[in-house]
Amino acid sequence: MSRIDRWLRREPDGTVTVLTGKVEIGQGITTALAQIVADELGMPVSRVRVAPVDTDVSPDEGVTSGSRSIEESGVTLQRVAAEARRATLEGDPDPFAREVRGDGAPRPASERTVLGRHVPRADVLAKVTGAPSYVQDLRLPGMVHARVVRPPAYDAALVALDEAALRALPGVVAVVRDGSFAAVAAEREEQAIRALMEARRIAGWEAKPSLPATTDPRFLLSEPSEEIVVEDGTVTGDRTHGAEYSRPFIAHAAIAPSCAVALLDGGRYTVWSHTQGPHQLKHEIAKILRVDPAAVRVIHMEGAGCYGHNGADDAGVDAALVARALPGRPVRLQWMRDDEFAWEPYGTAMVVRLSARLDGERIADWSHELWGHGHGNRPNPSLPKEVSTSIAARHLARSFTAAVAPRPRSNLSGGQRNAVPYYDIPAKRVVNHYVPKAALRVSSLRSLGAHANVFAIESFMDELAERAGADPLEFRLRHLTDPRAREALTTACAMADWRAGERGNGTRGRGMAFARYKNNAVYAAMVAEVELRDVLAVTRVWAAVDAGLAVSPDGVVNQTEGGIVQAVSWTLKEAVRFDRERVTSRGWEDYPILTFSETPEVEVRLIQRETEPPLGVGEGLAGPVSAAIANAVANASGLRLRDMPFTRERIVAALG
Amino acid sequence: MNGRDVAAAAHPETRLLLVLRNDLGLVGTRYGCGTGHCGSCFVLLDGRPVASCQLALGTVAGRDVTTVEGLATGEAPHALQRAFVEEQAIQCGYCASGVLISAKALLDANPRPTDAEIRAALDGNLCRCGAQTRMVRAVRRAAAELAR
Repeated sequence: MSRIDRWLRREPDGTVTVLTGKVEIGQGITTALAQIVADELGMPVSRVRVAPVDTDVSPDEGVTSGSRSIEESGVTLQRVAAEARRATLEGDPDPFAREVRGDGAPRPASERTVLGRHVPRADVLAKVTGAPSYVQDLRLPGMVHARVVRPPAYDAALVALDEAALRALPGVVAVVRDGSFAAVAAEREEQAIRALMEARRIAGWEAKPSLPATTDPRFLLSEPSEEIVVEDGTVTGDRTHGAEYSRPFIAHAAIAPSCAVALLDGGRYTVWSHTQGPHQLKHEIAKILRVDPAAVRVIHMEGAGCYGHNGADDAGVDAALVARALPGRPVRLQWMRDDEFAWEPYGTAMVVRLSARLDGERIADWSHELWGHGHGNRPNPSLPKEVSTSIAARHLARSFTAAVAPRPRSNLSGGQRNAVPYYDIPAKRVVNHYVPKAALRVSSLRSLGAHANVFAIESFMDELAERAGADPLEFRLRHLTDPRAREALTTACAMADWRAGERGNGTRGRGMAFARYKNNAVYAAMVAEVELRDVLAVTRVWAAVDAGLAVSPDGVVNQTEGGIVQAVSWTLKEAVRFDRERVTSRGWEDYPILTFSETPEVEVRLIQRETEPPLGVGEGLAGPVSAAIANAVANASGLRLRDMPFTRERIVAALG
Repeated sequence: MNGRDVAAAAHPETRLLLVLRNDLGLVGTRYGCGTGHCGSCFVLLDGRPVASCQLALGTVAGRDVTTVEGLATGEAPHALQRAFVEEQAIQCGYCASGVLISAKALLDANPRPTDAEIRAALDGNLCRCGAQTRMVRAVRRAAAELAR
């Protein structure tokens, strides 16, 4: 057992420091966790500080992902704080030193003063006044600037590099070369960039074509796959309707390229990183540098929003590899924009094939087949010793085997997330054709398989409603018994003033969608309005979310709005481009995202449930957004879009 | 620089962005792409928003540069910065400096912009978290406050 001060420490000035394993990634988690602790201890939020994760002192609570931080760390902290409060009430002179018993009873809802109320995030003022806020801003005495010289293509090997020529450039303090891994470090940042450009110019690489001949996700259908029966209902050969949907590889495309600062001092590495899993990264660095994990300390500092596993961990490994060559000097390793686009692990392309049989007014059976690579290919201490998820590891002379994005462990994970429709249907058959050998590097992108699965399911629900001659709202309600699901859906439709059977006018229309994330978390429903101009525009979105007890209501609304806008961007514009050798999306001009003028008006209503457990909210919106847009286009024009992104070229092609 | 004369010793070809961050301690101006496409590194150059990653140090000598740190008056944040706090108009906040610079230039030229004008003025700034609707609301709030 652990003591309370494993999580909560009372400082000499009477404030409380919270130690959590979860990290701030722009989602506002530190504010929500402070609210939970403050409420339980009966203190003002301003007297509670959430410490950044430091592997030397913070608990290992796994990776900050899957919208689980409130459900996991939040609930743990609430119980621990309840025990601290009880110990205080019992007159314990040192209540935070008590052993945690695991029987803490949180205050009843009626006694709460902070939880579920609006508490402004304390970090906003610093961030809008330009204060140092991100690992990118860290400046240490004697710090040098480093860049990695990545290969021009995935499978390119470094065959020639004139290291002496690079060392002769102004300011260069180190040229690191280990197999096909190369990096430069210089006193000044512009000198490091110049050395990088020169290295790119003079390096000799041997590349071989290894990527699919087409960017159409249907290449997945002919790849070797493992069949996983997710749900084994009996489906007859009699089909009323069938359709196929797809999404391309999608990039996280964080606004800031990844960065880390690493220092080798006294035989120990300290790495400042915007990783989502500091403890996992610590073990990854130790593995790749072949040192004892005790010789690595990872300290979290914020980066830009990440929306899943981007280049953060890789930059941490890269920085440590350069720091090894420069003991005593902090190394700030910054990825270039093209590094981030070309090397980050994308969210996998997917194909979903649905069919169903209608029996009168209701769906009698449902078949869902999906094809895709794995997700969740993050640094993982339980992988075999010579297997690694990091890019650098596969380029070193003594290289590691590249880890394969894993097979889903359950119906909640990977490509199977939300593959089973939440609707009451007598027979469902769901099969995942998991394609282990990934065409591009893939890992976790916000919502994992739920995006494509819900996009397909919710598009198909509208298609079936039309065949049943029913209004899409009424048709969904026919198949939904969960009262919270029904309320989310009817709330969103009421906000939009949805009229049963409403039809678009040829260019303008509206569509709806619903999902319960992971079938066990946040309920999200929405109506989207679109306009077919020379391009497809999403003009308005009305959304209702039920996240149980919303600890920080404005935080939930902010996450919901952001999730909606980002998914509008995915749906309308985004696809990673590549040729036979390399990713060709290297900058914003090759990978455009939604602009301010293209952003819809978004109205969110929070269904606050003070007595229900809190549910994470960040990922629940993506699938419904894409389907609501597709349904709105069909409602406007009769055109059914099933392949994302819905670009002008796609729409023109679909119109024939 | 933000109303003061400053000197920096770097090669004249060095990008202003790097001089701000590495020599002048002004890290609020941020690197996003280095190609002028994202707006994270916007500063006001003689009142106009420009990408500091595209500006050679030699070309800004003798000119007025304002960074996000220079929007405040002493310790008092600018109305735009206060409005961003009031509206909680960020998620990660990495793009915010550049957005504020574009918004400042807009309000200086057009104190009562429509929503469409605000959006158009911010089209050179990318936000990946999806805080656009809040940011537009914050700019509207600041405009109203400045008009009082």
